[in-house]
Amino acid sequence: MSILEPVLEANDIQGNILAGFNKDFQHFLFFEIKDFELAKGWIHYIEPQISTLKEVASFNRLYQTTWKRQGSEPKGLIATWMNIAFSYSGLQKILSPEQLVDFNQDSAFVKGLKERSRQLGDPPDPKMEGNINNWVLGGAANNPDICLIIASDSQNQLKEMILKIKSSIDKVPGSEDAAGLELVFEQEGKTRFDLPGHEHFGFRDGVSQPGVRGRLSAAPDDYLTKRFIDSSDPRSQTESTPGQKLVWPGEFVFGYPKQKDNDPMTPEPVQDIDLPSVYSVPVWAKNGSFLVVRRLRQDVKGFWEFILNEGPKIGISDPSLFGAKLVGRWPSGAPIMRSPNQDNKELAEADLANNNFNFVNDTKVAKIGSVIDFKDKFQEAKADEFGEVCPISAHIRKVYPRDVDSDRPASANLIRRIIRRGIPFGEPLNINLALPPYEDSQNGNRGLMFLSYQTSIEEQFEFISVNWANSDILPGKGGEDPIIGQNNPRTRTFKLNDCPIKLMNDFVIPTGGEYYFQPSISALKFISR
Amino acid sequence: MKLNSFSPPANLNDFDSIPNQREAWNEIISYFFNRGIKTIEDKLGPGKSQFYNPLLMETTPDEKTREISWFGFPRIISETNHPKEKAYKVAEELKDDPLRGLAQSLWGVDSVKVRQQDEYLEWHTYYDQNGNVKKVTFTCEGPEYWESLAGGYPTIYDGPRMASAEGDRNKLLALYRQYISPDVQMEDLFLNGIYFPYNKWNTTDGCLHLIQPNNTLNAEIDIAAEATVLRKKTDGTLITDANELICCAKYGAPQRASDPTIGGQVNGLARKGASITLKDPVGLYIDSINTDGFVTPDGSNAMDYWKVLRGQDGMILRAVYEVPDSVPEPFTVSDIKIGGANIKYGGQIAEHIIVKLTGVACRFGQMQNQAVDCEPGTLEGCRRL
Repeated sequence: MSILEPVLEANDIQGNILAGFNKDFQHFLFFEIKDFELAKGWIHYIEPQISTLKEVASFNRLYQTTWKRQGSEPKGLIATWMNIAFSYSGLQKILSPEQLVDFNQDSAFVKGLKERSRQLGDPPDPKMEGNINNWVLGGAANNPDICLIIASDSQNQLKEMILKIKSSIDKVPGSEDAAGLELVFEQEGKTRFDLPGHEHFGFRDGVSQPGVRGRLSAAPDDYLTKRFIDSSDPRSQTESTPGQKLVWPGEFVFGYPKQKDNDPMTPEPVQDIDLPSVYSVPVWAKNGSFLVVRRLRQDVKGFWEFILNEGPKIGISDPSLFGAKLVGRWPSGAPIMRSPNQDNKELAEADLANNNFNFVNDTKVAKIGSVIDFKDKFQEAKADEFGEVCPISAHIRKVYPRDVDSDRPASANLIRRIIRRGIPFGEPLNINLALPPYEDSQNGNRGLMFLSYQTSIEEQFEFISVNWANSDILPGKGGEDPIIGQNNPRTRTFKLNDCPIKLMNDFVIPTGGEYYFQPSISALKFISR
Repeated sequence: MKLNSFSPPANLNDFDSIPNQREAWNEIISYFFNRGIKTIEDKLGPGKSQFYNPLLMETTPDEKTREISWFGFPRIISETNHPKEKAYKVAEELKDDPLRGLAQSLWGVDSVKVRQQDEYLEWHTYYDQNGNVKKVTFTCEGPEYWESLAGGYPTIYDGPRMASAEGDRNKLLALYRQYISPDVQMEDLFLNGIYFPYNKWNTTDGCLHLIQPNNTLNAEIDIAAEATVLRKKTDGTLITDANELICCAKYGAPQRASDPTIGGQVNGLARKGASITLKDPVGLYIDSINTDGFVTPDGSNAMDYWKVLRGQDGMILRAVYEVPDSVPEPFTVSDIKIGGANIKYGGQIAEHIIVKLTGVACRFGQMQNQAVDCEPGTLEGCRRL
């Protein structure tokens, strides 16, 4: 029997959270609030331009159905979106203490990323690049009270919108006032056009996202996350595409049922009164979410030098294989669990197969619903209890352990999930497996604008980073995450085939960020009153 | 290779000066293992237990070690108390626990005060006269060890006593004085002539070993043993979910983090046809503490204030978190911030402590047991399957 999933208030939830902009071009504008009255006037002006879940989801659906019917991407179908979020220090400038009293004063959001940076394992040494003193966004550099995300399929449309916004800072349209804001940082983000969908180390990114439960209307099967598994297969109750587990929306948006840590199906009911008393946010946080922004520079040279130098020392001469062991997926995105010895582009491109694997149990092919004509002919993933195929501390096994019982039973892994909405920044350095040294005209200025949405920064984003990625014993004993793990002193160990490999350098360096709250449309109206 | 003898937890040497006490400890642990094996064999048949006693059965060269870990702050307290500060406060509180049967008649009391910290890690927070945290002491030591130290064998124990050890009360007193207070008196530690774990120095005034009713070494061994039994649902399908398993087999407490994950991981190895035991020296240990995010007012390394008192790195039994008076510019533990929040409760530190037990699996694929039905009844905290 299916569970009735809640209807999401799609006109009230900002669109990037649950639907996702999915654009090749994104721009981030960070503002400090200088005059709270003027700023409220600007927020009032901008609110109607903030894209809702309804708008973004409708466009995404239209895009998909048009693509399917035409047989190719509908390039003429373009949209430009905008979402907005506020740091706690930003909210303090425009709201009264009474309106903020329900935020827990010791929470990650209230403390802010600068104060929580050490907890995440960011270097405490002020001489190191990743230390908050050297950040370009937030940290000691500036106060990015507001994060405005603008995204478009068209670079020209994006540029136009950016100009329009910048101009509104000087004079808010429809008034004679300035916005009371100062632009403190901006960041261009864009898809790697040499390798679309890949991050700067060269690996396909964003393959695995939680399948968020919930409906976009009262129609019984108008699901936010499309279901592909045939209803005769019991997995249709808990997965959307094979391997994509369904998670209750309260993990990502306030005011909806949450995922229990010990039951994959039955939700934890959430009432409005629970928001302040249990979840330490005000009632007006309903339909909102916490946004984590981390500007991560990627040392692409360092990463590939490491792979090309160290691989042969432990008997792995194929750099793609070594990379796949560190990441858990081949550069194409094919999971090593389903293709243990070589990359498989066809598998990588098969969305109904490339995420269908577990780690410690055999994984079968699921029965796909008849609306899609797809046969999963790829090698099934076999149980890999001891990390012989996918090392225990491979990146994807660290940050989402799937069926691994770790510090709690595996069902609890679903309460740690985050929705990732990041985008690369900077020009690619396409190593293409050439040997070092590498010429880099950009001097290393490339990386990932990491964005995640969740309703608990501590139990989701921070938990994954601190308790799993940075740990050598959890979710299983095998060293720290070789891609994003951090510890002090700065040496990590990665166990591969029972050999501990030392990683002396960080390949991913935090260079800025902040913790934000992304309110509902009605809360934006309330904020700008 | 077979194990010669079970060693004391973390290879502690307290027993070395007590005649036959090491031998007695070996007897005790072996008895706990054998009792677990018998329970399984009563269910599955002789020779079918996938839990084995390493004294009696070899550990073969295909052995794999599995460290099963969890966080020290009680899951159930954080699930049922909001906001966080309330959970930290509740975790410090003692509660009344009724004594029944033999325990009640031995000590002549109806109820005792116990800690609610139930993830095999217990702690005591000491405050100074200004209400700041002076120090927090942490322990993973089961009561059986201390009862044996006091009287040779655990208080409630039906196993063999061939070693005829008698413990050493003076040693017990000396250790209490060393780790808790020089003011401890012998008569404080005994009731009706029997070592009383719920004495004030181990409850209201300190924490020397575990006293939460389910936090015992015996319980750990029982859970590991029982979790090696494969289980099936009423429709015949094999149970692989750790929460369903604990509710089905009825070992441990389903609402903890520790018991379900211990059971789940052990059962996962059992489903691979392996024989499973616990690594010697058998015990529950603090694996480590993560002090990233602990910011001190003088910039000193927060890890400097973590001292292992019993055991060793990776097998810690007792530790203290304390800022000594000797620091150049005095400050207290409460002046240290974790993620921006001052430390007001020991639980804030416990959240960053990993507790573990270590299993060993070998003879993979050789055991081909059938799954059995669930135990009757419903455990508290379980939904009906």
